Amino acid sequence: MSHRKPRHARGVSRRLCLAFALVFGTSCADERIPIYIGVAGPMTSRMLADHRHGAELAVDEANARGGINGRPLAILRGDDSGRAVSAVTVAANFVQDQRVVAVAGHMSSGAMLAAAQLYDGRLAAVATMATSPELTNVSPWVFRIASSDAALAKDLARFALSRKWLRIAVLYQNDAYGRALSTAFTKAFEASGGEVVTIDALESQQGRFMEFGVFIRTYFTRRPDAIVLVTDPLIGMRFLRETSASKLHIPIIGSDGWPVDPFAADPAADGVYIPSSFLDDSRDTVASRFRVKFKARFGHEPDMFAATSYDAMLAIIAAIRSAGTDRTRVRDALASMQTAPVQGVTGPISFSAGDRVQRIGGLVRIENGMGKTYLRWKDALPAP
Amino acid sequence: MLAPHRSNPGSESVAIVAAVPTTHPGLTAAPATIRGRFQLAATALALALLIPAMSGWWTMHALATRAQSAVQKAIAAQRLSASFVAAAMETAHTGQGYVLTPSPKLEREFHQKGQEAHDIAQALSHDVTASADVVSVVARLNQQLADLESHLARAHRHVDLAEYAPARHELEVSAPFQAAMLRSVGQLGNAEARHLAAATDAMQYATRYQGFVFITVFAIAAIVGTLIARWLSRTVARPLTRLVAHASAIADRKGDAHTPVDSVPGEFAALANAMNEASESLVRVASAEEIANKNQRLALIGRIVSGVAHELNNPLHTILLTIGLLQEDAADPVLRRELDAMRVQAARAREIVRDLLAAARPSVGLREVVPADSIVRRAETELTRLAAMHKAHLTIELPSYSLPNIEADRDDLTRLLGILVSNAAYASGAGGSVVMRADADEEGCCIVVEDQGSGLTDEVLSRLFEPFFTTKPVGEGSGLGLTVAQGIAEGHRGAIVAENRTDGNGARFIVRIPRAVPRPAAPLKAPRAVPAQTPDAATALAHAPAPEHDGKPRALVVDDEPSVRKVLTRILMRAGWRVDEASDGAAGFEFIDAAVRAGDDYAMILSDLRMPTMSGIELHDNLAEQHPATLRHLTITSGDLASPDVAEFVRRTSCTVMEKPLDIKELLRVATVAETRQRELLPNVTP
Repeated sequence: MSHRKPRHARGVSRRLCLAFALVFGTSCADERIPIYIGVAGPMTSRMLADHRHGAELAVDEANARGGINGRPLAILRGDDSGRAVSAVTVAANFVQDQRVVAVAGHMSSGAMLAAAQLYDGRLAAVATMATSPELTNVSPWVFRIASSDAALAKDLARFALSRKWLRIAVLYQNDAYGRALSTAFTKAFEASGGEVVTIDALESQQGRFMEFGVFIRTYFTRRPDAIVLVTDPLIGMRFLRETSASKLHIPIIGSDGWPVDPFAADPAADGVYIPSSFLDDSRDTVASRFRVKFKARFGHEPDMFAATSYDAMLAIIAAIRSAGTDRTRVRDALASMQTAPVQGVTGPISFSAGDRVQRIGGLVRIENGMGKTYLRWKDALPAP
Repeated sequence: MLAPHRSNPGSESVAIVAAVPTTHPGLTAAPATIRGRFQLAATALALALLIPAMSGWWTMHALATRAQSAVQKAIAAQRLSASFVAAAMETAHTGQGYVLTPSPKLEREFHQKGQEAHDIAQALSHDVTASADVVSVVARLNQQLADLESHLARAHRHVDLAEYAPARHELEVSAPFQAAMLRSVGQLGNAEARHLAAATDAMQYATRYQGFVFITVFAIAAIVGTLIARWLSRTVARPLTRLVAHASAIADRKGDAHTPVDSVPGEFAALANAMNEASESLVRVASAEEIANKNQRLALIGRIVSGVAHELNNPLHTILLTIGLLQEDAADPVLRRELDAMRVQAARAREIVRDLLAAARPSVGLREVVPADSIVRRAETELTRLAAMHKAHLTIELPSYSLPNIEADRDDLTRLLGILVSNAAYASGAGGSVVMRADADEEGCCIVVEDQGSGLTDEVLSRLFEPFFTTKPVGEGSGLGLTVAQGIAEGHRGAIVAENRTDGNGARFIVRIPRAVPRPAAPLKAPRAVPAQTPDAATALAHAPAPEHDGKPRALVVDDEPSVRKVLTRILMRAGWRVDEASDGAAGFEFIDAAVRAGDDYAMILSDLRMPTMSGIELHDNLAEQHPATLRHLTITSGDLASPDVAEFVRRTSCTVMEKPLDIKELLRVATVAETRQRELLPNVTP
C-alpha cells in the first residue's frame, strides 16, 4: 500500500514548486519542461501512418515510466512527404529549434540524403527505413535503423546461392531505390559466382497501364532459377498476379518495402520471399511485446515502418537518458552504442558509420496464402 | 585672507571657472591617474581602430568566400548537369544498339550507362544548393530517361522474343521521350542561367549589405574615437589648461586665482589643492606686507606728528597765556579785538595739535562701562547741534531695548560720533538729513551714520582714514577728523568701516565697538580734566582773592621752559599770588621742601611733566613719599596726555593733570580752586 499524499497536499506542493521556480529559476522548472524529439517523415499518408505511430508508442512508453529524470518527452513532427526538398526545410527547422534534442527520421533515402547536409555537425538524426547505400558514412550525425541496401543485396545474393539459384533475372522499378538495390544485388551475386541472366527496368511510376507480358515470356524462354523483383508493393503485387495467372513457377524474391500482411493474404503471393527489417515472430520477446502493445493501441499488427521508427525513438531515448539533452552528447551516445547495444524490436541497436552493426531481420516466406514463415538471416544463411 | 568661494567679477579665476564645465558624472569611474587615463584611451583607440580593420577584413573575406563558393557551386552544378546530359544522351544512343542486338554485353552496357546518368541526377537532386529550377528540370529529365529506358527495355525484350511489331510500337512510343529530353536539356540551360543570375544578384546584394555593415562599423569607430578624444580633453587637457592659467596667475602674483578641487578629476585635484593653497599664501603674504607698510607709514607719521605737536605745545602755551595777559592790559578796544582774533587762531592751532596727538596715538583715557545707547543719548544734543551747523537734520534711531555694555571713554566716543555726524551733515548739505542708528550686533554694538551725499569714490574710500586727507576746500577741514575717529575706535578695540549705501544715495559709516569684558576690579574713576564750562576770565579775576601781601597764597611754577615760567608767573602774580619758579623737578622739590619746613605751604604747585633732571611724575612720586600732604596742591600740565606714561600716571594717582596749552581762563580757574581749597584748609592747619 503506497502512502500517497492527499490531493490537496500535492496541489500545494505543486504551487510551492511553481513559486520556487519563479524565484530560483530553472532547477524546479526543468522538471516540467518536456524534452522535445523531432519525428520526420511523411505525415499525411494513411498507408505510412504507422511510421509515426511507432515513434509515438516509444515516447508514450517512456513517459509512462516517468520520462527522463522526471522530465516528460514530447514529439515535434516534421512532414517531409518523403521528398528531398521538403526534408531540407524540415531539417532546417529542427536544427534551428533549440528545444529539439534529436530527430527520429527521416523515413526515405532521398529525404535523408538531402537533410543529412543540414544535420551534419548540428543535430543527430536516426533514419528509419532509408536503405540507400549512399547514406553510409554520409555524416557522423546521421544514423539509420534499416540495413543498407548494399548489406541487403549481399544477404539476398548469399541466400539465392544457398538455395542453389545460380541464374537470376532482375526486374526493377526505374527509380532511385530500384536502381540502387538491383545494381547492388547484381554486383554481389555476380561477384559470388552467380549469373544475372536478364536485368530490366520498369517505368518509375505506375502512371499508366504497366504491361509485364514481355518479361514473363522472356523468363519462360530464359528459365532463370529465381526472379528478384525490386518494385513498390503495388507493382509487385500486380506482377505476382500476372505470373500466377501465366503459371510461371519460378521463385520470386520481393522487396524490403513490401508490407507483409497484405501479401500474406493474397494467394498470388504464394512462395514469395519478402525481406524485412522486422520479423514479428513470437520467438522474439521484445518484438512480440511491441506487437501486442502496438495492436492494442492502434488496432492492427505493426509493420516494419512502425518497428523502425519505434527503434529509432528507442535509440534516441536511451542516448538522452545516458547523455542528457546536449545535442553533441546525444550524438556521441548514439555513436557509442556499438559497445552497449540497446535492445530494439528489430534487434540490438548499435551503429557503425551510421549503419546497423548487427544483421537485422530476415526473409518472410508467404505460404499458400495461409501464413508466413520467418527466415532470420542468421538461420537462413550459411555461416560465412 | 581670501575666502575660497570669493568671487571677484572680471578676475581670471572666475573666467576659468566659467570656461571649464565640471566633470561629467558618468566619468567618475574612470582611472584616477593621468597615466591610467592615457592607457585606457590608448586601449580604446586601438580597439576602435582594430574593430573597423577586423570588420573590413571580415567583410572582404566573407565576400570573397561567398563569391568563391557561389562560383564553385555554379561550376559544380553546371558540370554535374552537363555530365548528366551527356550520360543521358549516351544512354539514349546506346539504347539504339541495345534494342536491336540481343547481346548480353550491350544489355549490361546500356544498363550501366543509364545507371551513371541516374546517379548524377540523384546527386543533383540531393544538392541543396542547386536551384529548385535546376533540380526540377533534372528530375524531369531523369524521369524521362527512366521512361525511355523502360520502353527501350521492352522493345529489346520484344526483339529478343522475335516480336517485331510490338518492338516497333515501343520504339515509336519512346520517340517523344527523346524529343522531350532534348527540350529539357534546353530548359536546363535556361534554368542554370537563371540560377547564375540569381547568384549574381545575391552577390550584389551581399556586397551592398557588407559595405553598409563596414561603413556602419567605421562610423561607430569614428564616433568612439571622437568620444575618446573629447573624454581625454575633458579629463586631461582642460584641467591642464586650467591649472596652467592658475600657475600663470600665481607667477604674476595675482592672488585671486582659484581652481575648485572638485571641478578637476583625479590627480589634478591634488594639484589644484596645492595651487589653491599657494594662491592663498600669496594673498596672505601680500596683505601682511600691505598692512605692515601701512602700519610703518602710520607709525612714522605718528612719531613725526607727535614730536612736532609736542614741540609746538610750549610755544602755543606761552602765546595763549601771553595773549590773555595782554588782553587784560589792553584798554584800546581795537587792540583787544586784534588780540582776541590772535587768541582764536592760537586756540585753533592748539586744537589741531590736540587732534594730531589724538590721531597719532590711540586714546588710552579712563574708561567706564556703560550701555552704548546711553552714550548716544547723552551726546544727542551736541550731535544735533553739529548737524545743525551744516543746516542738516539729524535723526537718531535707537532700539527700544538696552544695547550691550561697552567699555568707553565717553568724551572720546562723543567726539568720534561728532566727527561722523559733522562729516555726514557736510556731505548731505543744507536741508539734507543724516540718520544715526545704533543696534546690537554679534560682538557688541554697531553705530551707523548715513548721509545723503554723492557717495565715496574708490580712491576716496581707499584713503579716507589717512591723516590730512580731505575732500573739503582748503581751510574748511584739517583732514584729521576721520583719522582721529579711527584712532578712537581702535582705542576702544573697535573699528570704523566706510562704504557706499546700497541704494546709491550717499555713504555710510559703521562703527563697531565690542561689548565690555567683565573685569574683576572696577575701573578707577578719577578726575582728569576740570569741567568744560569755565567762568569768564574777567569773572574769575573778579572773584580772585584780593592780593594781600601777607595773606597772599603761594604758588610754585615748575617748568624747564623759561618763557612758560615767565608768563605763568606774571599771570599768577597779577591774580594776587606769590610765585616761585623752578626750572626742573629737583629744584621744585627743594622749594616745596623748604616751604614745608618753613610752614608756608604752596597753595598751588603747577608742574610741567617732561623736564630734565626730574620729571613732573618723579616730583609727584618724591612728594608722595616725603610730603604727601602737598600732593593735593599739585597740578601737572602736559602737552601729551595721550602718551602711555601719562595715562599710566593718571590711572594710578588722583593728581590733577591739565592739558597744555592752557589758556588764561583755565589757569585762573585752577588757581581759584586751589586758593579756595587753601582757604578751607587753613583753619585746620593754623587754628
